[in-house]
Amino acid sequence: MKLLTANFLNCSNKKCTSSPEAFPLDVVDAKLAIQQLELKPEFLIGIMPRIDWNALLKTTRQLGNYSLPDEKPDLVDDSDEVLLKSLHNVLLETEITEGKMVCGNCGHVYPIFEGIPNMLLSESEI
Amino acid sequence: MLSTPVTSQLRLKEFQDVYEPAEDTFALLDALEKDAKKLRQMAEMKNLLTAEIGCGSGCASSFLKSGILKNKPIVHFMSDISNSACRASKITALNNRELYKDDNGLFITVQTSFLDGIRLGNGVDILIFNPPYVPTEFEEIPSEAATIASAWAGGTDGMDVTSTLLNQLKDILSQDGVFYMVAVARNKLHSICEILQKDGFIVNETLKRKAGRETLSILRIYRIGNTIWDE
Repeated sequence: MKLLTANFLNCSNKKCTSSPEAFPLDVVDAKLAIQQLELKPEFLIGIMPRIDWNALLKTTRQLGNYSLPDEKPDLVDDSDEVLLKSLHNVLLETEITEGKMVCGNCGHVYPIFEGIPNMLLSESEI
Repeated sequence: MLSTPVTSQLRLKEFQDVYEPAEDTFALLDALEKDAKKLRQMAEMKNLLTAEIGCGSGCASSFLKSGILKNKPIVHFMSDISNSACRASKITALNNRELYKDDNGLFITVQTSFLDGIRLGNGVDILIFNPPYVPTEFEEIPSEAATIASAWAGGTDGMDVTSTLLNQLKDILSQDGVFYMVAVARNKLHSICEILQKDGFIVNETLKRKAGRETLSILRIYRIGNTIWDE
């Protein structure tokens, strides 16, 4: 899964959805891969309003990446090439191939296997 | 006419549990293609979030995202409880992006039930769902989620899985969003309509087709006051 995906995942347990600890999930034991892709400024500009910046910073820093600015940048056009490139690299070119995501509220561990996050709960947890 | 997505990897043994595109899939594709102009119009207005629940082979997802909405900056989610379906869908997405020359947007595959664990709020603009709609006796429903039966076995009236989604739809679909689902006559379509109308949705039967003993229906569902779809 792309690192961007982590910004769209929270704990599947309904009891956790309102907890601030349940998002973003903590990424641990992650294996990363970089996949070179063509930069699409239009896509990045469009996705920015949907991104929770603080959650993204938490995820990237857990993975040892400090390339993003502390404040959510205003991305309205394709003039800031440096920023676009760093967003592109972090959000889309960085793949988490294996690893785990842990809910900070209930401690549930969600495995990532062959790049696919498994958000299923066992029947006893629903 | 758009070509049907290629899903030739399903011949591999590791994908034997994945539901292959069949009459119901093709009916859904035809219904989407019939609405292609309006779906593209939606994509002109904003960057869409789209999703398929129970993506199976990923055929319908690829058709929508890479075929009809080719080159639009869309994020498309594919969810399935089966790991092999998720893996098959990823391959279908990748292969057909190339075939359709779809060069923008993103597929996100998540192994989950419905959209559980995916943070979409009321944000899904186009949702597609080909549920397990075949009415089955309780005993027939497989307890093991990964078996292929979970792709078709729908419990009483074939509505067990569908009802769960219909009850959440108001919290999933965006204000101007549209939802397509497959149903058969035995699903008691009037009860589907009743649940949805109570929540302020309009239900159109956009396509109806005989497939063997079944009559397949594709339902198009949107909120009252949706200016794109209200006719």
